This record gives sequence, C-alpha cells and structure tokens, in this order.
Amino acid sequence: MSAAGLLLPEEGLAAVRSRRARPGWLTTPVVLGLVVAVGWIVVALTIQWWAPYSPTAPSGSPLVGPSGAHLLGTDELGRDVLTRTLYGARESLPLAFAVVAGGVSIGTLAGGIAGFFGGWVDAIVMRIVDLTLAFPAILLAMVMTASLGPGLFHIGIALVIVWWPIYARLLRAQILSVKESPHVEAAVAAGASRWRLFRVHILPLAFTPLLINATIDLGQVVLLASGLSFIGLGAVPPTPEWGLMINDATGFFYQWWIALGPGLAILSIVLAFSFIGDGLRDLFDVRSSESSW
Amino acid sequence: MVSVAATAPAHGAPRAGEPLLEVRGLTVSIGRGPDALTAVRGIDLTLQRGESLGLVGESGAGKSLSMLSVTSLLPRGARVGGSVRLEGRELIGLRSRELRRVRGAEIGMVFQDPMTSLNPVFTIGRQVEEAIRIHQPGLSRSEVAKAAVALLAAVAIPAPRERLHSYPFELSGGMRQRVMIAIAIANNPKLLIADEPTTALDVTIQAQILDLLRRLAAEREMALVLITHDLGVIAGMVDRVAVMYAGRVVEERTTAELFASPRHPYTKALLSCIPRADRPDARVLGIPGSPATLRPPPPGCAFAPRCPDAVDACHEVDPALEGEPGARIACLVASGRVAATRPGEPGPR
Repeated sequence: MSAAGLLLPEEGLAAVRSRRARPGWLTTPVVLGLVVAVGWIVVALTIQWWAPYSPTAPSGSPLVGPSGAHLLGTDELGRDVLTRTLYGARESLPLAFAVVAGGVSIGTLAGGIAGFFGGWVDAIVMRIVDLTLAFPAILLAMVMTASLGPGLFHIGIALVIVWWPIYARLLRAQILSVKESPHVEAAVAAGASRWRLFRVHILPLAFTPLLINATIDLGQVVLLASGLSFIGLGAVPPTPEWGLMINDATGFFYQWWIALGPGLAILSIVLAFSFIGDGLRDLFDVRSSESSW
Repeated sequence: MVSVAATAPAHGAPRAGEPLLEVRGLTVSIGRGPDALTAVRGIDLTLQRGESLGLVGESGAGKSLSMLSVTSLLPRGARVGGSVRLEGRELIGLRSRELRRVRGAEIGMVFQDPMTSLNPVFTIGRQVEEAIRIHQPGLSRSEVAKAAVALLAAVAIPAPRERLHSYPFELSGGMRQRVMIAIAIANNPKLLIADEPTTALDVTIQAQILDLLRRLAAEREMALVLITHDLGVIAGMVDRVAVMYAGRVVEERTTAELFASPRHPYTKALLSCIPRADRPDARVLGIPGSPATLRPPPPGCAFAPRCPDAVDACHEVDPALEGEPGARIACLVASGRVAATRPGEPGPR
C-alpha cells in the first residue's frame, strides 16, 4: 500500500474505512479458518438430528461411487462415506479440545510454578518436563493401548502426557521475562501477595503465546490422533473415526472416494486451526503484525 | 479519605518524640564470599514524621538500594545488614506476610519509569482500586471506586471518573507517574519513598510532578524521601539533604545550608557541576577521576582519590559521619579533625 499521505482524500478515507471494517489480523485465511472450524463444530454438535444415514449401518450397495444418493459414495460395507465423515467430527473434535485443555491446564500449572518460584522447584519441574519430552507420542500411545486397551480416550491420555511439557516450557520462559518487569516490582512495593502477583501481574501477560500455540495444536491433535488410529492404536471399528476410515480405505485403491471424505476433513481442520492461530499471533504480537496475505 | 485502621501496626501507638524512620548501620552487599560487592557501607538516617529528606548521589552510590532495603525490595542475591525501624518496629528480617502489610500501607513507593511500572493489561482504575483493596479488604466495591476517583483527583488527573477506564498506553508519561503516585498514596502511608520519580519525564512535567509530591506530602502529613542524582530537583523540595558517596552518607545538612555553604569536598564538587544561569561565564566543572566501584575500597576515605583537599590522613582513616542531626559531615579535613595542608582552604580553627 502506498503511504497514506499520497492518497487522495477519498482513497484515504476508503482505506481507513476498510481497515475499520476488517482489522489487520482478520486476513482471508483467518476468516476461512474461522468459518471451517465453526462449521465443523456445528456439524459435530448437530449431526445426529439431520444425518440422512446411519454412520454404522449399511445404507446401500458396497463400494458405489459418488452419486446423488451418496454424495461421497459408499464404503466396503455399504455405509455412506459422507455421513461417516461428518460423524467423525464427533470423535476428533472433542478429543482435540480435551487434549489441549488438559495439556494447557497441566502445562500452566507446572510452567507457572517453575517460572514463578525458580530455584530448585524450577529445576525439578523442568527435569520432569525433559523426561516426558523424551518419550515419542507413538511409544506412549502404544503403552497406553497395550495396558488399557485400544480406544480414543486412552489415546487422549497419551497425547496429554506428550503435550503438557511443551506448554510448561513456553509459559515458564514467558514468566521468566515478565517477572522482571518494573510493573511487577511496583506491585510488590504496593504490598501485593505472591498469588496476586502471579494471577494479576504475571500470568495475563505471559499467557498469550500459550493461547496461540493451543489453537494451532487443536489441529495437530486431530492429525496425530488420526495417525494413531490409522496404525490401529486408537479408535476401534465401527467407530467413524477419520484415521480408521482412511486405514479401511487402503485396501480399495480404485475406490478413491472412501478415503476422500476423511482426508479432506483432516486437511480442512488442521488448516483451519493453523490459520486461526496465525491470526491470533498477528492480533497479539505487535512485532509480527505485518501480514503477507 | 479512607482510613488505614485495618492495617494498623500491632505494636500500639507510637511514642512521642520517636522518629518515624530510623536507619542504623544499614549495609547492602551483593553476592557472597570473597567476590561480594558492597553497595551500601553502613548508613545512619533519621526521619521525623512529616519531614522530607533528599538522598543525592551519583549512580551506584547506593541511594536506591538503601531505600529499597527499607521495605526489603532488594533484588535476589542482595544481603542487607543493620537496622531499619519504622515507628520503633524493626523492618529488617520481617516475615513476608508482615512486610506486605508495610509495603503500600505504611510505606508507599514511586519508581523511576512510569512507562513500564503499570500493568499494561488492566485499566488504571482497576490498578488503583487493587492498591486500595489489598490493604483495606473490608471496603465495598462502591467505596473502593469512590476512593479511586478521589485519589486520581488528588494527583490532579483531569476527568478522573473517565480516566478510570483508560489503559496505561492511553496516558502520557506524566499522567502515568501521577497514577503511580496515586497508587503509592492509596492507603495514606506515613512515608513516601520516591526513587528518581522525574528522571524519565520532560523537564516541564518534572516540575509538575515534584510540586505534586510536595503538596501531597504536606497535605497528608507524609514523610518524603526523594532519591535523585539531580541537586536541582532537591532545592526547594525537601527539608534536609543527605549526600551519598560510595555507599556512605558523606554530608547531611538542611537544604538551605547545604546549598549556601557546602562543607564536604564531594558536595562542593557536585554543586560546582550545576550550570549557573546567573553566572553564564562560569565554567561548569566536572569531578576528576571516576566514581567509586562496588569493590572493597582501599583504606581511608572513599572520596580521597578524587578529593582536591585530601591530606595523607585521608588515605588512611575512613572518617565517620559526625555532628548534630542536620549538620553532619564525614570528612577529616572539613570537620577540622586534621589540618588542611593547602593554604586558602578552610582548616582547623
């Protein structure tokens, strides 16, 4: 954009108006991401009332390509692929939100304690973090499945274990820098207690990166959970889970539509949350507010 | 105004004639073992109720650290020794719960940088209200809000009711410093410590803030400690001045006397560093040498290496601060304990 001074009055006004109509962080991908994410959430909440077919019972001949009756065709058992894909949101989205909420909660607690108290408390908490980070997600998922049996809930536990150390590290680093701000010292001089310092003067300033990461991670959890289900560690048949559906589809190479539904679902959700996370970063972080889109 | 009854000290009414603040042999050292640096090397100060004291010195003279140690606000790793008594109650070594009742309630503090001393994510109204609520938890929401408006009005912020909803970034530096002062006096402290409150501000705003501090101290009968490296700020602001050098008070005089007849060579040198508008042809002098470091000084007076009046004894004996309150000086030559060697200098009578 040219410098504001070079614009004609009308142009300048229009530029100002358009900026007011849509803030800088609300770029096209962010809007797209919000629409897709909200769309999936609405689907997950309401699908049981308007789905044309059952997600688990056959509704036509097996392995029929896309048609008016079955927009994404049917799978090897004659189940409607589109219906199963839409029902898949009921498995993946709650899992994603639960895993991220669990990870953020534990991570905030651990990182907060480590960063705020410092010293040996910090050392102990951060060594536990390092220890946990050493385990790959797949290994933990296998351990959980082996000991507790397969199922998305057990995968969720494994993912929380994998995810909280990341948030703990992030928050600790933020707290260490915010803690040294003059306004914290001023609050101490005003007689604020430690809990108040943490809650009012440190956490609100340190939490932003966590929020951004958590948003992006919503998509990542969907991806990882699907991946674990794909290799048989998560959902069990006949659950309409996206990773499981893609795994089912691997035997039917020429019936491309069976994998298309869940594939697009995963793609759209991961992209949507990434875009929203990017938008949030632009919104909160003044340094990277230059958006290239 | 709102009372501080909820935070009244437990030791009972102060005795008559007892000073408000009594600092004895205060030391602050950083680190431990042979590498320890000593920033404050034993200072004694007394402050009466409602009195104002200026604390002057170069950077690193220990002005801020000595006052921060009054409410144990020292940075991690700093160790404090000696005694600080507020109305007879020892503050050094107080438990953190009790310290919190002193901070903000009995001793208010204003810091140097108003731009970063406010929490950027809350409105100033919320922050002023928080300062009140910490120490007077019994007040109702509307009482706190009313007190906050009154405080903003007291620090001369225009349209205080509207400003309650402003965020710090919406205010200028001078306005933010006024908010900081409002927070510092929110609970009617007996002592207000202002640590270079005007250093970060424009000259015109500086005068306004200093006026405000002086007026508030008089109105509310607060004792005021003003820390600064600018002697111009001190003049006309405070009753008494303590000049610090290398972690020690070297001269403590009433303000008028200090400016009229400085006695310590360091004070004289400091005053000669001020450009004189009434004598445009006079040269502004610097002080030769460099400021004392925090390393243990060689024996003798810490200022001796830079002192124009130094005699041999100055390099051997570290002079104590002696004299009547309001006329104390730590200099062998100027106090007449050792004969000056140079002609023309004030020597022993």
